[in-house]
Amino acid sequence: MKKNLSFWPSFCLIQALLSFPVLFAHEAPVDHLERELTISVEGNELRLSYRVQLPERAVMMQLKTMDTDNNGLVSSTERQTFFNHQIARIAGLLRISIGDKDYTFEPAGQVQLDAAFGQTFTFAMPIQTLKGNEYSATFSDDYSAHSPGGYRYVHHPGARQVKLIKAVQAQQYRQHPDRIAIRFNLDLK
Amino acid sequence: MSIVYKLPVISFLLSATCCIAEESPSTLHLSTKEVVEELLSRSKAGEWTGNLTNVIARHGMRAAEIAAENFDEANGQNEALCKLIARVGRIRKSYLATVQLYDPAAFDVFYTVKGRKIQERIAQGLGWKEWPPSLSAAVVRAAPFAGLVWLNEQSRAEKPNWPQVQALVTEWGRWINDGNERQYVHHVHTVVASFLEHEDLRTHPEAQAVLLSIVSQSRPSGCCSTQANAAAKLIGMSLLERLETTAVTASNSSSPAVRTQAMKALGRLGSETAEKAFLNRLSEESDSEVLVNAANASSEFKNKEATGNAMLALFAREQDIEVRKAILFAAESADWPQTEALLLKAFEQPGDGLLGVALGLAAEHEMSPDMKAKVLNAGVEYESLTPALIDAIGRVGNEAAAMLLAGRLPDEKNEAVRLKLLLALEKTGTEVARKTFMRLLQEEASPLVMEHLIAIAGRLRLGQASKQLMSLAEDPTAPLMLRSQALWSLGAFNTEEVKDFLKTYEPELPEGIPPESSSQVLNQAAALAKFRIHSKDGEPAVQHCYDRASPSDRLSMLMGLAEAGLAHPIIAQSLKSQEFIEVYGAIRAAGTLDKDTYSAELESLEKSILFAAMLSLPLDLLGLPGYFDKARSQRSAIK
Repeated sequence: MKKNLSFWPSFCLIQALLSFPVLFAHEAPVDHLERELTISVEGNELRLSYRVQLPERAVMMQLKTMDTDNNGLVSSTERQTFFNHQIARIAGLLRISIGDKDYTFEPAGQVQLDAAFGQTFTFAMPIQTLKGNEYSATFSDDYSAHSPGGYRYVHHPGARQVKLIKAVQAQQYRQHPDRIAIRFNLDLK
Repeated sequence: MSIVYKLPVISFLLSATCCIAEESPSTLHLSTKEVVEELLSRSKAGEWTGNLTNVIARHGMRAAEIAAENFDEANGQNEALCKLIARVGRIRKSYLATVQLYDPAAFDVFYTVKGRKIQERIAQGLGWKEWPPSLSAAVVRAAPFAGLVWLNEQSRAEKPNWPQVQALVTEWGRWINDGNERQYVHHVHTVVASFLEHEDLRTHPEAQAVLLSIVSQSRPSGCCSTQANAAAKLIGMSLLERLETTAVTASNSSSPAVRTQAMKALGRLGSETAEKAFLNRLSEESDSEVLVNAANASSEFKNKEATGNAMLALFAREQDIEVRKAILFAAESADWPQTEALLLKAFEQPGDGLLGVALGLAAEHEMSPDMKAKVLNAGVEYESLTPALIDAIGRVGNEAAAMLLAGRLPDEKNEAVRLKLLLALEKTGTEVARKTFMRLLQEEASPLVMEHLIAIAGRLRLGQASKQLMSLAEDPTAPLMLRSQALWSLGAFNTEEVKDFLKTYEPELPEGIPPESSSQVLNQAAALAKFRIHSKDGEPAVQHCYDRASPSDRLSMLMGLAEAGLAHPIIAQSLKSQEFIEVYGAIRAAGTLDKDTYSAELESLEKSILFAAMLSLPLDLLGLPGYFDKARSQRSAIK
């Protein structure tokens, strides 16, 4: 008769470890950015407020990039240079289609930093030529495919001209959205 | 590369966003003052305020300043205010430049003289008779200077308020232990030393235990060789001697709680004096709780022979199973010369889980023939094999061990156990193992197990498997994981047939997965395989994939290079990246090379003040400081 070892349940742990790929997909070594965006019509512009919240590890990597003179601190010039580059880079990854035409956003204003390691960028595009009609529009975010994370759409108080229809995943595999797209109605009458 | 090479597919999953939600903007657009008022109003109404936490965090120290203005010893809102302050005060654990950039108000409060006024307001509750439960956390995080002033006053008082001192010191100990204290470690230890020398403490053993626990809780930041060096670095030598004297005296206290903390402190201090006092106490100690903690603290003393002997004697005399387990756990990191003797004793009385701990230790150490025989005997004797036993058998590493492991496979239905058996079998590297793997490659039905078998076929270079791997790589109905793993493993076979296969490889894509993503996964694996077999187009193919890859895909490519020990220009590129995970992968890859190829890039990282600062922070860095040390020492050795 063979003996039994009393600590067989420890196999639960191995099971968990061997499920590593699945766990890994969620407990990622990749820095996840939490995004929050608001679309609004202001005067003759469609404005996008785009906030990313970084984990502290990503904050430190950005600081390292900013600190070009390697003195361990970030001067206002270093900060300005870094974020000018960053806002232009993100603008290049955001697209919007209104009706049947594609448009791009341009940076508008300075980045706002907040104490939760948030960076809020503002982008704008002119809409004078579109006024007088109602459109269905789609905002798509290639930056989300590069740097994944949670996504929230926040209604701007009083932004009645922008009505969110739904957020969709442009591509999907095993329930994991890849690139985020947001569909909304734009009332410019 | 079994798990590593899942990374292309995993990274594909990672390139996803997690959730999409629509949120009410009502609290997001409030001013700082309004947010604090909203919190107070909800708190007054007895409503849950947790959902305001994230919103308040964005307002930073300005919210704490407004909260402090609302303190009133008589009102019922103080706990809610303290929680708010403790939340926003968490930023003090961040690097100075981070605080300055993201919360300038906090920078002023923590790092300027004028900020001390605000600290005083935040810490006003220290003067109250009844403290709100979160006051200590609020003070430690947001008003540390004011907290130290109060502690120093108490240390000079004839009769300190010990319960309040305990509360604040406990909180500070936790903060230091978590690696969060950036400014006042030395100051805290200095005031703790003053308290430990206080006349009135003799009649307050509970406070004494708490104060001693601070000494054992001071975790070093960054990479340190020994705990003793780390303690000296953090605390300073003269202060260390004061703490050591109090810990030595306390080790003979009549209170077990005090002796427990004293033994832990002595282990943490790690000096010769501390070791002597520790071993003296150990020979007389009989309290199990003290002994368990002493065993846990014993692994860092320099005199391995003396400590090992004491632990062996304790193991022999002590029947308490928890004490015995603690000794075996300590032996894992202590590397005592008596480890084998401890193991043999554990095998004599293996009950109550002791054998499992002993096998875990055996799997990490060189085994004598006697020990190997005992492990194999346990493998035969027990009906089911535990993870520790499987590892230990794998460590034995001979034909008998391989036959034992292979013999368990046919009846084993649990996938997790099968994988454990396979990996242990691989470690034996025997002919029995090779034959078993070749057979299983034909028979295995589970995709997960099959994926590991393919990886093993590559690592052990099972040449006969290459045909099967080529066929799998081409099969559009096979899981993507298996196809990419097969491609990677083919890179281990430097034959003409494999070279020709990879040269003309055009993956037929599966249905149901976006073509862009599946072709990326397969092309990336094929490019790396070509590079592994030194195919002419391997290097540009890898570069081509890298240039189009996301950070997570890049990580998988770098980990592939790390496993194969190959240099490629993408390592240098990634060492300069802004993405943590790319730098991480590149450092791991650079650390496996025997050539000083990336010297300039590694030196640049080494000299970066902010990179060094990041390594010293209590962040989840996936073991990067250790890998960076390895890559640097490799470079120095080559030079």
